[in-house]
Amino acid sequence: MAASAVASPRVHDFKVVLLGEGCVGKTSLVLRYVENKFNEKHESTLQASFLTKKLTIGNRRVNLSIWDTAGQERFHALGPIYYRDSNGAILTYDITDDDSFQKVKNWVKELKKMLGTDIMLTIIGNKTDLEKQRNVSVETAEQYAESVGATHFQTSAKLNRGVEEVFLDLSRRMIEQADKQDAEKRALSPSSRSTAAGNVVLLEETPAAPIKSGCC
Amino acid sequence: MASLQNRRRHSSQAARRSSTFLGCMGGGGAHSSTMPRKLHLSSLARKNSVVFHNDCDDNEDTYPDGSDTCSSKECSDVLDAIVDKSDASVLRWKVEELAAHLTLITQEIFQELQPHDLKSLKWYNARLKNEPESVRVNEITRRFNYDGQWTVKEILNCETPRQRADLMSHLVRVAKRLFELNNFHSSYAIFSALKSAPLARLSHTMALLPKKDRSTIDELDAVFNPENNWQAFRDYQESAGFPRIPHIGFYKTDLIHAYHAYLNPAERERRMAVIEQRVFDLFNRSNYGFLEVNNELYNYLKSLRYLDELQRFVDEENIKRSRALEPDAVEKGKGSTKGSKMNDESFPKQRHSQVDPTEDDGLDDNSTNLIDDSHIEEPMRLPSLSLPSSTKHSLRHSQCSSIGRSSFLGIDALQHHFSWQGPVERKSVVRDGRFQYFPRWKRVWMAVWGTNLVTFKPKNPFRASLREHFQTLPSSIHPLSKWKLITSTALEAIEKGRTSALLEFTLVAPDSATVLKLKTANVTEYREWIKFVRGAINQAENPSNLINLDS
Repeated sequence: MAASAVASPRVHDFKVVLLGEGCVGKTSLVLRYVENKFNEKHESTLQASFLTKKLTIGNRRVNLSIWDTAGQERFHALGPIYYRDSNGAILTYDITDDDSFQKVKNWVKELKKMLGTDIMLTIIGNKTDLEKQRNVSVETAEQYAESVGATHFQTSAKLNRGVEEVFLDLSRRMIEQADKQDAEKRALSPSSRSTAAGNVVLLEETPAAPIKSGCC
Repeated sequence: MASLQNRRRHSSQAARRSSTFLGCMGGGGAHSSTMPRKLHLSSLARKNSVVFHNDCDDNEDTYPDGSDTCSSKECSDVLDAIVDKSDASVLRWKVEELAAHLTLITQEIFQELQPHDLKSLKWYNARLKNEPESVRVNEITRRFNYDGQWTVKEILNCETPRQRADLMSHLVRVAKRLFELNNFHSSYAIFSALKSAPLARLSHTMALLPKKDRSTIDELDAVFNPENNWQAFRDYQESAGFPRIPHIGFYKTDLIHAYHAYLNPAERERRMAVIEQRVFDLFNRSNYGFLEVNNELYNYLKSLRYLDELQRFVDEENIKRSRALEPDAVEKGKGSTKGSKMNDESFPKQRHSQVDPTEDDGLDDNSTNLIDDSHIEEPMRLPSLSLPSSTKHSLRHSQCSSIGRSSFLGIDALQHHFSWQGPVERKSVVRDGRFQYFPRWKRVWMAVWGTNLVTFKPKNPFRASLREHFQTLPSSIHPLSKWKLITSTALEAIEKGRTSALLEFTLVAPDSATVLKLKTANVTEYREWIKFVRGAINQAENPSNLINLDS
């Protein structure tokens, strides 16, 4: 990777919020992903653990902090307090429940309104293990996701299907976005224009096997 | 922790100050004894006759400027279908009273909570929402949402940024008082509503918010902080004393995580029981019996209802209303930011002009300014569109901050009674019956006070844009009774080739002994001035006598 010499190997810290209606499985999903369940050190306090995940994509190191507010969905006005400054959002619906899909649309609207295009969106249809009871068609969901510039995934947290990909794809897009913002910044400051070209080279095409390096 | 305790002590002192401040507001009625207060009261009474609470209009604790022009009609058109009608003047209740009653009501709901309700997680499943366990838990969240919705609705019900800022200031103090009462549930409800999308985007209102209240928001923000899984909030809440009403949001998350994380049923059960017990320990059957009950206020706050199912609709209406009140700077700035520099130079006086034709979808009523709902003069409408729309800068920012900084820091309680104020340029064409041969534009700070026009001269003529640049004592007070307001029509101005004349209006005393020309900084302010000056003239006499050379 020639670019690696130029691209600063800086660590990306990304905040990712999990949004979606109650009971669509977002907590199982993220617990499945970070695989730490309740961290030992939280046992005494019994708090929901602060969910973090470190991964490496290409030569980029990424720290994800994943915010889950399962159970607080009904506290209505908390959204903005919770999602501000996030780099990515994972909007989950239950494929057997059309209402939960509508709720995702509402979230997308609100996030777009409040955070513009800076936030990367991933829409997830969870509970593919209940395919027989499906109420939200894949086409509808994918079409919608495309129309709002989001990626769409189908997962089953229960069977651990498709979970890794969700976070990997989102992380890549967040890196891309961060690079884009860096490049814009650099383009604005003429002094460092020479390095800009090198940095735009993205490494995401490498079939990155994320190196999971534990957590917290 | 020590710093938190410090902040806490500090904030309670501030609360005492704020209560004396309010006391002085109430006492402010004494000022108005010299003023034709009756007219004001009758207008309030008229208003109250069409809204929900109509039995308290002689309450001297009202902010006259904030409450009497808060049109409930228009807003009720938007929101009536969904929410209860209520008096536009929440301001007539003191901060302490509002906080006390919100606390008493919430306390009752918490007392209903039974062991196992939270742990059952039935509340998490929409399909089980009618189970008694779910109902009792959801009643807590529902109350949280009522309080928040009420906060949003009441503020959006106010027409002008100034009125909204007055009410917002009041509610910030309520949130703070609730915090001091250890009622974290309600405090967070109001706080989060203030941060919610429809309110957080009201930059003009925010700019008018007193500095003190803005720092209160920051203080609360430091505690109600979701970082690290609400660690600061958890710590603070758990170390606060009794009585106490906790915010239970993150404990609910803890329960769900425990449920998913522990696969061994016995272990899961034990963990969840401990979390639930923590909530009970925090509340510990807290009793706020020491708070005095005012039945009217209690019933009013208790009556706040709306249907959960319509929440989405209410949200949309709220954001629409919010956008109508203060259109988005970003949207507005789309095509105009590039040219702003040039425009600023060529039209220095008009750099805050606004009204983008594309913004008109917010309200059907074309006679209402979408920025602040002030009445748009019909002749003004077309030319205003042709004025350079140059900036996404906050419309009233320059003088907002000044009002916030000086008048609200208690230089003079009198100022709270101004229905409108700001810097203008004044030219005395006729003074004391004598024609002035070389009148010059001079910057002054003017205010509409009841039916009077109050003028403050600058301390230093070269620096006069913020309130603090002007003297605290007025240099003149003109009762506007029987005065004429003359505005130049758009056509005249265009014919003369002076678009800046659009921002000028003339006031003529009944005996023509005084003729004042006033020039405002931008169209929005112009409209506000016209609206309030005309309102003052109107108020001083029979509306049928109003002389309006415009129409």
